[in-house]
Amino acid sequence: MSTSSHAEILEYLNHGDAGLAVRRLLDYCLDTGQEELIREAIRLSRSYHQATEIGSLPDSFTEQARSLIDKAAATGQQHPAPQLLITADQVAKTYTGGNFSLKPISFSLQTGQVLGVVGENGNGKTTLLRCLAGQLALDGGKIDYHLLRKPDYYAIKNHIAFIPQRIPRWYGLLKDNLHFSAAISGIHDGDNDRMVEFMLERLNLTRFAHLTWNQISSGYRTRFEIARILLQRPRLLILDEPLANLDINAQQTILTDLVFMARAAHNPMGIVLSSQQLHEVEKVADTVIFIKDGNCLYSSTDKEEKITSTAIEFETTLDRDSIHGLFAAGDVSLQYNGGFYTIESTVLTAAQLLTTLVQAQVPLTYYRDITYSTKRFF
Amino acid sequence: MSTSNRPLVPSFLQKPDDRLLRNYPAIWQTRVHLVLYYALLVAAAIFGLSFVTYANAKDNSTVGGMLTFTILISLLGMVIWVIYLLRFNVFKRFGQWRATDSLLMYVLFTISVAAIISICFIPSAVQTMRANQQFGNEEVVQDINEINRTACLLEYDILDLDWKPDTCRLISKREEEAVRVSVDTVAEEAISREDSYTRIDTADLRRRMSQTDSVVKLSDSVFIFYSVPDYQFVDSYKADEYTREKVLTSAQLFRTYLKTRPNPDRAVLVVRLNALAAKWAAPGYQFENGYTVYGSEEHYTYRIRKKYALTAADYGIDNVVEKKYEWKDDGSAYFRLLWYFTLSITLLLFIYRHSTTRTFFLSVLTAVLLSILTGLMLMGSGGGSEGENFFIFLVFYYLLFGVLSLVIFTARSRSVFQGIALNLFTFLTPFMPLVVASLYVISKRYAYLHNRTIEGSVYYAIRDDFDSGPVYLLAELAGPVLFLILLQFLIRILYRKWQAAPEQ
Repeated sequence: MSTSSHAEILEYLNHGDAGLAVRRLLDYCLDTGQEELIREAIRLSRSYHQATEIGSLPDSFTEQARSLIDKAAATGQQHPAPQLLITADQVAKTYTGGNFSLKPISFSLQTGQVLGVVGENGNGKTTLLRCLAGQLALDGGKIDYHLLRKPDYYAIKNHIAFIPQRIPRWYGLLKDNLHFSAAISGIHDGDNDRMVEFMLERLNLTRFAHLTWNQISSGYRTRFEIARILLQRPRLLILDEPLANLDINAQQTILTDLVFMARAAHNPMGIVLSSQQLHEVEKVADTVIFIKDGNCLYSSTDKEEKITSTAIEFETTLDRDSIHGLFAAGDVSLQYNGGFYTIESTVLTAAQLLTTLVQAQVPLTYYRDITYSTKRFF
Repeated sequence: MSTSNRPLVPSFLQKPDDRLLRNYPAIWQTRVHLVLYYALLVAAAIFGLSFVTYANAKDNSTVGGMLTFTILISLLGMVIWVIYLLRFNVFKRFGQWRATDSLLMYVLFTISVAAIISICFIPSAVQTMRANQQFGNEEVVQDINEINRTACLLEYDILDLDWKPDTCRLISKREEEAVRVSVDTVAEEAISREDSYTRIDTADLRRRMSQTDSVVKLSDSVFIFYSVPDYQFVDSYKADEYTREKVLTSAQLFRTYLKTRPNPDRAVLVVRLNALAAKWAAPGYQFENGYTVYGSEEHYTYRIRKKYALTAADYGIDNVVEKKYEWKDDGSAYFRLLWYFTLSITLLLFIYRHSTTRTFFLSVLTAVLLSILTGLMLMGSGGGSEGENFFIFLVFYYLLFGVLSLVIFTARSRSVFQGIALNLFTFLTPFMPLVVASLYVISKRYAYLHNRTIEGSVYYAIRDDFDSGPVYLLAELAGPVLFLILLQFLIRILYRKWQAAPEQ
C-alpha cells in the first residue's frame, strides 16, 4: 500500500479534499498497526470534524496531516497479497413453497474485491446473499470458504458479516453496542476503546455515539451497523441494499469507504452487496452479476463474450424524429422510456455516437455509456 | 477510557461497568452487578421498613401485607431486568465467546434471579430477628410455666382436680360385634349409647400410651388411660421445641403443685401474675365476651383467664413463638421456594436467550399441549396409585426430547422441531433426578404394598420404615449438578449448532 496510498492521500490534501484525505489517513494509520499513529489519526480526524463544524480548517491541519502521512509511510507496512475467499459453485435454492427458485450461479471472490448483485425486486438477490451468509440451506451446488478449514456454520457465521436490508433495532446507547461488538470479537481493554473511537471517526459518527437508536435517522443506522460489523473484523462482508437509506452523497462515501476498507492491510475482506443503485455499484464493484427471475443473466466477468452492441443513454429536449435524423438508417435503434433515450448500435462505438450528438449541437442534460452496464437488462 | 452515562447505572459503578463491557461482555450483558446493587438497595429499604413495622413481637403478624408489597417490588425489578435482557438479544449469538461463557451466564442469571426473589423473604426474616431480639427462648418457657403455676396456686379452690378415665380394650376383627356391647364398662359415667366407643388402630394406641398422663393396665387387653384436667392457662405449640427447659404439662403442674392444698403468699403472687400477664399481653387484644370455648362461663379456665387477662397474654406468647421459630420450622421450605422459583425463571430466561422468539413460544405451547394430552391419558389410565404413570410420561418425554435434540449434530438445516425439543430437554434436565427419585420411592412403596396383602385385599398404607427424605435430597442436589455438566458439555454445543445452522 505504502507508496500508492501515500501519494493518493497527499494528492487529496493538495487538491483540498481534506475530508477524503482524513478518511484515507485513518485507514493508512490503522494499517500500520501502531497504536500511537492510530491515536494521532483519530485526533486529527476529530480536529478536522470540529473545524468543519465552525467552518474553517486551521493552517496547521495540512502540516499535521503531512507529518502523520510521513510517519505512517516510514513504517513500511505492505499490503498483503489477495487471497481467494469464497467460491460459489452452481449454488441453487428453491423455497419449500416452491414459488421461487434461484437457478445455479457460480462465481468466486478474493479479499479486496467487491461483487455487486443487481436485479429487480423479488428476483433472488437477497436469497443469493443469504445463501452466501450461511443463513439458507442450499438445494444445489456448494460454497467453499477458502480461509476456513472444515468449518461448521458457527465458524462460517463468525467469518462472515451480513447486514440485512432491515437492520434489527439496537437497544441502549449506540456506543455501548459498538464496545460490546468489539468485545465479543476479542477486542478488549484499550484496544476496544481505540477501535471503537477509530470506527466512529472513520464513519463520521462520533457526535451521534451517545445517542440511542431512536434518535438517529435510518441512514445513520446503516452507518452504525456497518461500524459495528467492521469492528467484528469479518473476512466477507455481505450487504443487502445498503444504499437504500442513504442520501446521494452518503451512498458515494459509504461505497468508496467500503472499498478502501476491503483493500486495507488491517483486515482485508471481500464484499458482496446488492443494490438498485446500478451505476453506484458498477463504479466500485470488480464484478457485477445481474439476476432476473432467479437466473444469472449477466456477469461483468464475461462481458466481452456477451456484449455485441454499443449502448448509450442520454436526456435531451430534442424530439425523437430529430434524433433519428442524425444517424444513417439501420446504424442505430432508438428507444425512449419517458425520461431517457437509449441508442443501441452494432456499427458505431459509444464515442462515435456521442460525437454525432455533440456535432449536431443536440442539447444534452445527461449522457452515459451503458454498453457494459447491467442497466441494459432492466 | 471514556465513560458513558447509562441510565440506571450509578456514577460509582460507571467505571466498573465500562470495564466489564470492554473486557467481560458475557458478564456485562447479564447486568448482574446492577441487579445486585439495586437488590441490595431495595433489601436495605425493606429491612428498615420491616424493622420499624415489626417493633413489637407480641403483635399479630402482618407479614402478609409486607410480603405482597415486596413481591410487587421484586416483580417490578424482575420485569425491568428481563425486558433489558430480552431486548439486548440482537447480535449476541456469534462472536468469540469462551467455552465457559454459557455456564458463567447461567450462573449469573441464577444469582440475579435469586437476588431479586430473595427480597420477598426479608420481612419474614426481620420479623423473626425482632422477636428473637425481644424475647429469649428460655424466657418464653419460664414465663409460661410461671404464669400457669401461679394461676394454679392462686385459684386452687376453683380448679377441677378430677382426672378423666378412658377405657381401652384390644379386640380382634371377629370380636367386633361382641365388643360393641361390652366396651367402656369401667367408665365412671354411664354409657348413654351402645356404640359410643371410638375405634382406634394400633398406631393410635401406641401414641395414646406414650402421651397419656397415666395408664392402668387391667389385663393384657384392657387399659385405662387417665387425663388430667387442663391447667395450662397459657401455652404455645412449639414454645419449648428448641429450649432446655420444657413447658410444664398439666400433669406435671398437678403433681408438683396441686397434690396438696397450697398455701401461697397471695398478694405477692397476684402482683407477679399481673405483671407477667401485662408483659405478654398482645397489644389491643380484648378478652372475648359471650362465647367461650370452655362450654360455660363458670368453667374455671374461663374464669381464671378472664380474671388475670391471660387470653391476651396467651395470644402474645403465641405470636412471639410463631415469629421466633418461623425460620427454624419453615426455613428449608422457604429455601426450596426460593430455589425452585429461581431455577424455573432462570431456565426460561436462559432458553429464551439461546433460542429464537418463535421457537421459545412454540416450546411453551408444546409444553402446554403435552400437559393437557398427558392429563387426558392419565385420566384414562388412572395415573397409578402413587402417580407413577405421570413420572413415567416425564421420563419418556425427556428421552424423546433428548434424542430429537441430538439430531441437531447431523442436521443440514435448522428446524423448529429440533429447537422445541432442545428447549424442553434443557428445561426438564434439572428436574429429572427428582422424577427418577420419585419413581424409585414409589417402587419401594409398591414392594411394601405387594407384601401386605391381607385376607385377599391390598393393605393401603405407606411403608413407614423407608425414609425417602435422603433420596429426594440427593435428587435435589443432583439436578443442578447434572444440568451444569450437560450445559457445559452438551446443551451449549447443541444450542450453538442449532443457532448457527441455516434455515430451510
